[in-house]
Amino acid sequence: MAEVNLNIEELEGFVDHIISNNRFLQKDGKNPVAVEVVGESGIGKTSAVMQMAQKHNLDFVKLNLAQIEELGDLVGFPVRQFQMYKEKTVKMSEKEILNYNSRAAASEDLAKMPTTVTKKVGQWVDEMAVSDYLKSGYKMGGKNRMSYCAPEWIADKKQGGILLLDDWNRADVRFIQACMELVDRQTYISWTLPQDWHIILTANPDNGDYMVNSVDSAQKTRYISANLKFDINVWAKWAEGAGIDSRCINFLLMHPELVTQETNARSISTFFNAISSFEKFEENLSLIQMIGEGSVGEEFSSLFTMFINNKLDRLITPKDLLTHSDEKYILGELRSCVGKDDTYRADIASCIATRLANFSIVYSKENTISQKITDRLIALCTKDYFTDDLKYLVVRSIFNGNKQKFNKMMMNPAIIKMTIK
Amino acid sequence: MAKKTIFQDIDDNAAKRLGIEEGVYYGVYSTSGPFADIYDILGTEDDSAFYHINDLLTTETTNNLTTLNKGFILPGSSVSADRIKEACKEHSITLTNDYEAADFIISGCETLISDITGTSDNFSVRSLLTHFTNGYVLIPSEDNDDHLGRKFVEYCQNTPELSRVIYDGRIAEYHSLSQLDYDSGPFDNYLISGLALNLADLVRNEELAVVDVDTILSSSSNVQVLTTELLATMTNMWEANSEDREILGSLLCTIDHTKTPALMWQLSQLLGNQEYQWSRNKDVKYWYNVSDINELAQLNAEQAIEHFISKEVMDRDNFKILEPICREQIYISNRELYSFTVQVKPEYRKYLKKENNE
Repeated sequence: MAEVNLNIEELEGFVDHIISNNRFLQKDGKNPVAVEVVGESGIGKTSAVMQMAQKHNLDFVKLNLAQIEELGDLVGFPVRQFQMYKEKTVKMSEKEILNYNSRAAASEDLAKMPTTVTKKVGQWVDEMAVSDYLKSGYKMGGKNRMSYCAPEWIADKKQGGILLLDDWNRADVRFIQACMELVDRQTYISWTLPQDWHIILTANPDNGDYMVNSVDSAQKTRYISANLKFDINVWAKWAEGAGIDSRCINFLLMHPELVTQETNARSISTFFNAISSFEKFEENLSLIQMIGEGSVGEEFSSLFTMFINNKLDRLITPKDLLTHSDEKYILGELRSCVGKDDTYRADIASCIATRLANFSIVYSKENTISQKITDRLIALCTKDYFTDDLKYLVVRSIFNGNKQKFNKMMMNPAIIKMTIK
Repeated sequence: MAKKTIFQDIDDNAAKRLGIEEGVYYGVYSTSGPFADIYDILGTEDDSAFYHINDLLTTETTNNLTTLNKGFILPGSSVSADRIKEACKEHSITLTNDYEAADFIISGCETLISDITGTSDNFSVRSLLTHFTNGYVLIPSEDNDDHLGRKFVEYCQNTPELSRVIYDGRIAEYHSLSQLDYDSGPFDNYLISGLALNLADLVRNEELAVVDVDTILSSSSNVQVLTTELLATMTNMWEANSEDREILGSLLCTIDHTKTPALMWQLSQLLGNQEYQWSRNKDVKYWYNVSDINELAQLNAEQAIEHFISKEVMDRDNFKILEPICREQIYISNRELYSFTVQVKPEYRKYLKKENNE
């Protein structure tokens, strides 16, 4: 089965396109396309979709299919409906006027031509509402039928939204079957999703590690599948903006191999959030070890403890690197962290460079990039604190992260020379 | 402090000194909508005075940057202020928004003169000079007061003699001409902003020098000659990903397009007609305009050799780059029966010889 591997940033671009393409399709009266996001648990599938809805200013409905017990909660319950009508006086249509004119001309009765006509206006009314309709002047039409009413989660929704069918392959087969029509056509017998709604399914991989149902090819051909993969750089960017403890970001950047199926991004973030109130990690080692073993496992917590013992949690922060008023002091600190020549710590340099790039982008969203900050970045990216490839990566990330604010930096001769090394 | 806006008080004496004897005041709407301000602008049918002002503002009077201290960028510059600022910094020149405090102006605008025709084009509030053809002007009347509102009434009351307001796309958006009292304007109406008058007068008096933006950019240490290695780096960046391409855009602006024509031709085969990749980058757009890279992209190697010879920029080094490519492009379909010998024609052999005739 065809599928594509993406990180969260790439997934965002992918879904952005699907949303705009769906709008294009709907304009042409065609069915929109659904997307399935497959990924390990805790990788951020659901939160990524929620952020996309927020970004596009779309309404958001999340249905966890595994938690639904009644099929009716998903597709709506059957309801009996009666045909009712009311007599209303309405203006004559152009066609009726034309018909009347041709008859009236023959009978020379044109002056008496009426402008209105009485018509029966009918509609299907749910069984429970019949008595109210009768009171307001409606009459029974004599016909009845069975129909499905729209379920509660969609009944009051207006144009524009994302319907997330979360963990959909964990659901009972009946629910998966019931979803097919919805995913394919955004409709279920007697109700339809409003215009500009997009269906996204999330699922855990069907590789034997999860209690999921296999989805057959007849179902798989109804949507586009994307495999979400963990990407440490994308996580680090997210963590910088989400305010994850600086020391913890450093640790994971230096040990990305620790992210596994069991120790996933969610459990790691939980662990980091649980220890971030400790001002000094070294004074709370045993507690950190305990919290770690209960959340991210023994191996992760042991390496984290070693990280603290080696004083790597005290690396210079990107905030200080970018904004500290004393440039000489801060560059000295950076030198002591990364070393030089034989003592050069490539792993630390890489970690600090990544953090610097990510922090600069986050910082530029809310703050003005002064000449002083531009000069600081130029100094950091042209002197020998980082290797040439790291310098280039920092410049490239920063410039692409906010072209408007970092444009000046790209006009510096030293930066230009560095980029072509 | 002088303002940077093109709308300034009209100095009649300056206009006379610049050869405009019978100018007419016109009002122009600065923005759309009924509450937009109306500003004065000077109109004339005399194109010679108009183009004289244009020449004063665009003809470089000096290229010696060492004698200059403060520059004023003309509105509508084709190059970003950031880039000009960086290049000026290398010569200890600062930029100012106050042209009275400046000792030179930096010209190099695509839009110094804008052309507007009829009733649908908008008057450009960034162009110092405007050529307005086949248009209409509104004249004071009660009908106009009703439709155009208080600002129009105020303008007509405060402006001496007969006030006329240019009817352009901004007014047309809200009021059709049939609702208003109007008159035909001169078929060729040359409109000169207050800022253009003031600057041109200062240039005429030699109180302001004029420097072309290209002089400033080309004197920057940022400018680099295209080399084979640099071309290879740029090719790699182009073929990498969108982030590298953005960096390539910044790099492109620093390439000296007047040197190494053969490599420029090779670059054109890669980047010709690709400026849309950096559609939001004003500096890349400017570089594409001045470098003729899109024209070079249309030529094959043989045509490029001919082109550079006609431009008198062909030399041995450039020929040695282009000739092997040209040779590779030779196409002969009857190789089964015949053998061919390829020789460079005698008139081109001078480019194969070493300069010391060894």
